[in-house]
Amino acid sequence: MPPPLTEEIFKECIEQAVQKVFHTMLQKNAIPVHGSSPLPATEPWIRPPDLDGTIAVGNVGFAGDVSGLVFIYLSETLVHSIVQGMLGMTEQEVLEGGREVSSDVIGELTNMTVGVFKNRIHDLGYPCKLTIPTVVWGSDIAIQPPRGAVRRTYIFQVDGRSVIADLMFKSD
Amino acid sequence: MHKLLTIDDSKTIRLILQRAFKDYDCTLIEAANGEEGLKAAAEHKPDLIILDITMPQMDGFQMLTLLRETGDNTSVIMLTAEGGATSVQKANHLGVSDYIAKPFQNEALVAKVQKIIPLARKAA
Repeated sequence: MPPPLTEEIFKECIEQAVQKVFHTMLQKNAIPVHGSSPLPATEPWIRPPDLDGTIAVGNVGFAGDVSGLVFIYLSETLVHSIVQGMLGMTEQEVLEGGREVSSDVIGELTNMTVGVFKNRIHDLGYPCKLTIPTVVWGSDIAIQPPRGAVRRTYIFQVDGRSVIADLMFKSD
Repeated sequence: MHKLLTIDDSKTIRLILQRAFKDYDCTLIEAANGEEGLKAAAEHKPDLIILDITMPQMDGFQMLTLLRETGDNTSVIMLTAEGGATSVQKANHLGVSDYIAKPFQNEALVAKVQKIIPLARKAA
């Protein structure tokens, strides 16, 4: 019988996942914003001011003994910095590459993050598999959890900019 | 010159691998899913395959199973976000040489490739 998935396990797994991916792929620290993270699951979260403009939202799900969705919210400015770091591009090259290149990078970043998170859960005794990443862009994106899913929202700071990891988790 | 085949639906990963191996004496062949990977393996006869698992159309395990059924025993390194124990066991069963869970550092990937094929740096 696997151990129950507690709030502490979720917090530790998502923090480790975000920090590991940013550190390994970008040599950047992702600092959890303690005190206000995770946000209360029952309330819609208020977007940090630096996520008021155009944002990218990467999504990867996992399905198996447990299932859920993880959304990663990033400002367009931070996305450009991430693309430069991961692909060794200049800012001009990132702009020329457009949304197609940026979306692919954010899809992969999300895939890696959810992969690290999911692998920990899997190895605790809850086997599950990843889905293909998707990325959407917009300035007023609101994602509601599916029926029966519990939402947990974690805030990080990377280079002084907000990164939101929004978990929607369903356990049968 | 050694031939490496990378099979990953992420253009980002394929670009990262181009950067990782650009200073080495090898050709990098790219495929975006298992179907393309099977065709590329048959056409180019690579020395090593770097294979993702989660891909549309045909995933890495399906591709590798079909590849082995043709009698092709090319060395394979899995490079994937699917790092759970079950996936690692399945990969071992299919005769995978090594398994790298994303995220990864280029140097670590190159070192693992060099354990399998004698990949040298290009002459300056």
